[in-house]
Amino acid sequence: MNGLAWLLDPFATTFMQRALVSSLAVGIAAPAIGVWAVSRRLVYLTDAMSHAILAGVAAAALLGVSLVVGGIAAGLFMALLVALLVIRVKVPEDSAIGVVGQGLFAIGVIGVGLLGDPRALSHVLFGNPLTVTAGEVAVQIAVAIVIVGAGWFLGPLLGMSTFDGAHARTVGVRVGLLDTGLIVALALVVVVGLTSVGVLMAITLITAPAVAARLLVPRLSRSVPLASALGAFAGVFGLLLSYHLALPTGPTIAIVAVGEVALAALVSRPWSGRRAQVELAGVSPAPAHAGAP
Amino acid sequence: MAYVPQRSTARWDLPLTVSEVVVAGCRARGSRWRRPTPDDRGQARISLRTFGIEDLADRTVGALSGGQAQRVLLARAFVQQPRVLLLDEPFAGLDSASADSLSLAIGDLCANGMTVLCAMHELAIARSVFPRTIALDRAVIADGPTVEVLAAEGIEQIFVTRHPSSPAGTVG
Repeated sequence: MNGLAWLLDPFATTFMQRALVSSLAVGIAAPAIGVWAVSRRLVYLTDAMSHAILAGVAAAALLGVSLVVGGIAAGLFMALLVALLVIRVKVPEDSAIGVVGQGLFAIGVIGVGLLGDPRALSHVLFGNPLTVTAGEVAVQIAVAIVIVGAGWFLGPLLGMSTFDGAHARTVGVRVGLLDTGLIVALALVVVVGLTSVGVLMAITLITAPAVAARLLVPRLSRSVPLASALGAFAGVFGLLLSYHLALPTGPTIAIVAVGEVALAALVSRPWSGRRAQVELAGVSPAPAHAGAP
Repeated sequence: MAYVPQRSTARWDLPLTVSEVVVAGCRARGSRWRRPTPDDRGQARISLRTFGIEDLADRTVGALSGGQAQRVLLARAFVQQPRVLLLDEPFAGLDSASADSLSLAIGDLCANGMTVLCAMHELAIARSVFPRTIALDRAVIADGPTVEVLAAEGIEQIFVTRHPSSPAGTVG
């Protein structure tokens, strides 16, 4: 089989075309928000939230309401519980995230079990872009457009409030509202990514391309489009690999995304690069911020 | 009013540029949600020039020295066009060259009509930059023209030897 056929032949069928658009939409949207999750060190929260969302999705399926609404409600409920534990009960943040996330995940697993279909759980956890419906793809495209647009418009604001939240408050930025919006957007991406890459693989598409982009470009603002490009590539290339090698699609996409981080680490090599720069400049390495005596 | 804290809790590890950080001060006026306008970037450039760090505009904040980082935070506060600027120990941890250029920049602000209230321990700098000094040691010990306050007997003792933590408030 020649290269072009390898690339194009799989997309002869409607369900593979839908899978392609779905992987592209999630691959672009997830890293666009993921750059901010990585910068704000919200990766663990997002990971736990993706587990917690399972409870909301299962409840919504049992009640016959929208899975998206159920998933987002569960994501927000988790964030609220974590905030309560951290602020009121003084539980360390990572402990609170671990307990609440796993608790809701357990409820979700039981809930999905009640649905009666033994394949449902693995479907929700690991996804299957080959089964997405036209309606689900339309929602994914809409979410991708909203996330990319909002990310572009709010990028400088997110940058300045991530850099110095205290200063952002003093100039009147509503940092709490911005944080809530970020968590809602992360939950939204996990929920709409569920059908194609699954809740557990959505977190990989949120994190890995963003980390790879940060390794490759030394500017936060420029790492957003690069992260989306890397996410789109992981979506399409992972889909092709899974088709030709007969592998599960969600995990294959996730492995490609993680592979991008490995490659970016090899290419950027910050550990040797920095030393070389210092030697070139002819100065000895010194701490950037000398503390007050 | 704008405030520059002593130990900023800012995330200096983020790959933001100096101009991106300084332009954030523009959000003190107008809509907080908008993207920075060309006018905002112009204001940021003027502010960077005021503090002698225009050449650092495209530098990543993580690559700055302590003195440069301090001037970036001052430039960000200056962009807010405050009538009163509060500074908490801006000279702490700076080498003498950085402290000199910072003194000159603060002197310029005062000359342009801004009120600068600065908590500091460096008496020599206070003498050269600030016209008025309030000496504090739990309570106000002295308040008046810098030359008189710092010439008073025992002032150096209070700040340097007995109570190294008591700040001198200085108004320019």
